[in-house]
Amino acid sequence: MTTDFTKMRNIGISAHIDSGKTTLTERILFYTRKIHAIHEVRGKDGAGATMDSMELEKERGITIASASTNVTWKKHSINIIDTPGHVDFTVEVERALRVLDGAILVLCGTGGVQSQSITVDRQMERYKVPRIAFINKLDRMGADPEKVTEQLRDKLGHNAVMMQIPIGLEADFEGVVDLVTMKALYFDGDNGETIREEEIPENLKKYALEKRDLMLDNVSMLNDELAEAYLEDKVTDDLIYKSVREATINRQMTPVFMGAAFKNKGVQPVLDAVIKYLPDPSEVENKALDRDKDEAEVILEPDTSKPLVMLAFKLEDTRFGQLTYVRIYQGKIKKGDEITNTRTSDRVRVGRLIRMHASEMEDITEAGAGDIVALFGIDCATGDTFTQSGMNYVMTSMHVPEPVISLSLKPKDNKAAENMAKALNRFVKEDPTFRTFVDPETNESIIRGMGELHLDVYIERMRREYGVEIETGEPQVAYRESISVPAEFDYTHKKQTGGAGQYGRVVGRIEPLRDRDFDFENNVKGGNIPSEYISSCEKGFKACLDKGDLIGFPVVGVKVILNDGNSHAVDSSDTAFMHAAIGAFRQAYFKAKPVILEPVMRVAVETPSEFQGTVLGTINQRRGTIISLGEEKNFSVIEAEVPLKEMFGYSTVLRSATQGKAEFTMEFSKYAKVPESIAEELKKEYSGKDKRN
Amino acid sequence: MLREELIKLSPIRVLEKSINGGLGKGNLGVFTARKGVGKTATLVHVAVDKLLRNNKVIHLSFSDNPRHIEIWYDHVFNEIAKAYNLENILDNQEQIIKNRLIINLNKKSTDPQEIESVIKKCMDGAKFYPAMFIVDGFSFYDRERDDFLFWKKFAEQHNAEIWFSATLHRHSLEFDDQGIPSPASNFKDLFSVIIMLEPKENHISLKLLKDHDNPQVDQLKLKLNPKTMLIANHRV
Repeated sequence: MTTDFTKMRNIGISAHIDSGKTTLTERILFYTRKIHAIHEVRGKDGAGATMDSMELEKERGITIASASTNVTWKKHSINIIDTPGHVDFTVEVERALRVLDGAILVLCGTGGVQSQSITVDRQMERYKVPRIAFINKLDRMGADPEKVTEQLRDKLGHNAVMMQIPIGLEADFEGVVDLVTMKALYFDGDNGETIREEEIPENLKKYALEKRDLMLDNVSMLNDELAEAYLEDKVTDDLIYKSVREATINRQMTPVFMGAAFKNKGVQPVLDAVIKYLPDPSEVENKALDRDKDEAEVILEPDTSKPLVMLAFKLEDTRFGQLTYVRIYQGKIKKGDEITNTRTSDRVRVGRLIRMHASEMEDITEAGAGDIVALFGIDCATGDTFTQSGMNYVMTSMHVPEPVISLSLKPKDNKAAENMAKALNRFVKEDPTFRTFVDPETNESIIRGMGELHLDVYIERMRREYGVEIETGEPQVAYRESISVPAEFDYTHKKQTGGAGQYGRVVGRIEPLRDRDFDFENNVKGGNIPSEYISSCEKGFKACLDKGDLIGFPVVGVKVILNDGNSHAVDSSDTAFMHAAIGAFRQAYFKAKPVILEPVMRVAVETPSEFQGTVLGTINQRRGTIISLGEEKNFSVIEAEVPLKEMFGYSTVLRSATQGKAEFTMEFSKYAKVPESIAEELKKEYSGKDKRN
Repeated sequence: MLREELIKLSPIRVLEKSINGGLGKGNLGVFTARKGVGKTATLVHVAVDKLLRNNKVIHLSFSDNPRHIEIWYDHVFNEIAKAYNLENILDNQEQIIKNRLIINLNKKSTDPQEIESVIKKCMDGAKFYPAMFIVDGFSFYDRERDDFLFWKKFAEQHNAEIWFSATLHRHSLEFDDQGIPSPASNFKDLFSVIIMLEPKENHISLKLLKDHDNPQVDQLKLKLNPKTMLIANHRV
């Protein structure tokens, strides 16, 4: 176990779909001797890239679950977390960013800054992660690294600075020029494993000098020492490295590198850049909250001699049991140690300790601050903090986007239902943005997630891994009924046809009630309704609220005021007055002009400003009301209220309307009246159903 | 009480009567007071009155917390509904929400061009063209005349009334011969109506300092109720 933090890096590789980051990671594994052969992501030799462990991922050619791996490069220990690039799997990227110290932002040399690059970059901003950029696929037609660097500046607001220039492009792409050493780099050997340094080709010398000057200009604005040296023409390589490192860690600049990972060109310099420019664990401030001190912030020290504080950031169910990935922020853990889960207060023993390599495991005996490892046999949830020595710390909770889409599930039979429950239990533990519950009103199983693809994958996993066949549909909207004006009642319940009779009369009114579902006020005087029957009256009225007469949905917002009544010495009873109350409610209900209410959601959309008009259109088309608009950098923030019924399928609509660049969240806001036309439709539907029953 | 009745009885009618029928389209008005006295509450009450009369209002916010403004509107509306026993509350509340748009402007943004561009973009995007703008939190200190000329032109271009709030700082409180405090006094020719809120023992009085070009300024018989934060009639 290394305690020299300067030789540790925890990085992620984030990017848009198909920008080639999995290929890049594969090359990294190869060059750092973690794998012995290169398999293409969707290769002809039948084997997928090592990092894509799941069959499903291989089939779709996408990476679903984040995998972590440890590599060694020039005596540095680097933990790399490969992260998926789909909007639907944002939680994976978010989770990885929470525990990493730096990142490589991979961009396509032809596509440039694409939809997910924007989302991913905002996520990196949220977690203040320093990054370097790698412009990939320079061997493709139309590759233009200068244009992509411009886009980094314009679209993402980065101070992007090219640290290399390409030698040739497209089919002529041969290598890169390092603007610090001012040497040309070529990648020889079957897999580009041998780097050959040469003089810069004559035709590129002028351009290289120009770009170097630009780079120095830029960096010296951020570093006085370099600025002085630049003026005096005394710039050294080391001084540049030092200045760029400082500026990158402070997120004042993004150094840009380039290559073609598929063609084995440009990868090793990126590894060098990770070491040179991205922070080690001791250079990043990490804080926890001390529950014993009213959640006061505590700065954690990456010191193996201090008490343990570590965060469980990923769970994986394997055939050996649950595998928990952890980031150790302070202290160290050894096999056999006892640690405490500060959320549940459970004490657990550290069993098997693993260093992960994609889908292969390496057993280790201990791990310390700054490291990312995995544990077996620890039952916990994502986001749980573990400590030792009685410390009651929690790491700040991870930002988990709220699920925005839901589907109802109907298993084909009882066996399927059983397996479905097992599957859902597992998925919920692994993924905090995947939620499931049984709707108490409709008895349907509902699943919620980040997008249609997100839920699709789980449904397919249920089918493949648990053999569950299910039907899916739209969940039903939970309507409500209410009244809009006061209405009187005067109702007598009478059954006096021989034998024990029933008699009860209630007089009063119902009126609309705000802020509460139900209220009951008793103003009966002189014992006209004996006091022992008052609670039965209330029960009777309450019973009517379960199912309104309009469309059979629960009634809310009603106040009942009981003013008077009559009773019979023999025939009055609890039952009689309950029936009287029920009758009274029914009598008054339609006089009170009942209305149908629907759930209205508070929707917040963040979109690049260019799409603001389009997004507003999508909201207006959904009977939405715009509440507020705002501008932040080049992003518009729109808050609106939209009926839940209109929000089904919105994630797909929004994605198409904004090229995937917009995000939205949705939460319940209130109940509001449905428009007349919808009310009529619902009433017709209900009376049709009623007649059939 | 029905909405129509409420509108007739609203103290805002008293305000309008005292200022020549109202602020008037294309004109600027300002409520000025020390911090915390009740400018926002007053502005929101004026806005809610406009909204209940089925007019559109844009509320420009310079704060970091735009939801704060919605809370103000909810509060004022609920107090009005309570005070006047308003019927059809749900419908009236819906109407307010539909007729109102909140635009969040960057606190640091002072460039009129930038402000105008953001507002116009939002208005065109949402197809929302109001009769009134509320500008709450736009500091009057360290301003040039051009800053308010911009707003005057804006009001005229959009044929709308614009009501401002102007916070007075204790350290630099000066009054001109009309009793108008600085910094509002520096731009008084651009404002048609200037009202000052003054805390008294158990209410906050509304003092009319400028009424269009009227040399004789009426005594406003209005106050702000510190409990409900509603404008109310006041027997002087």
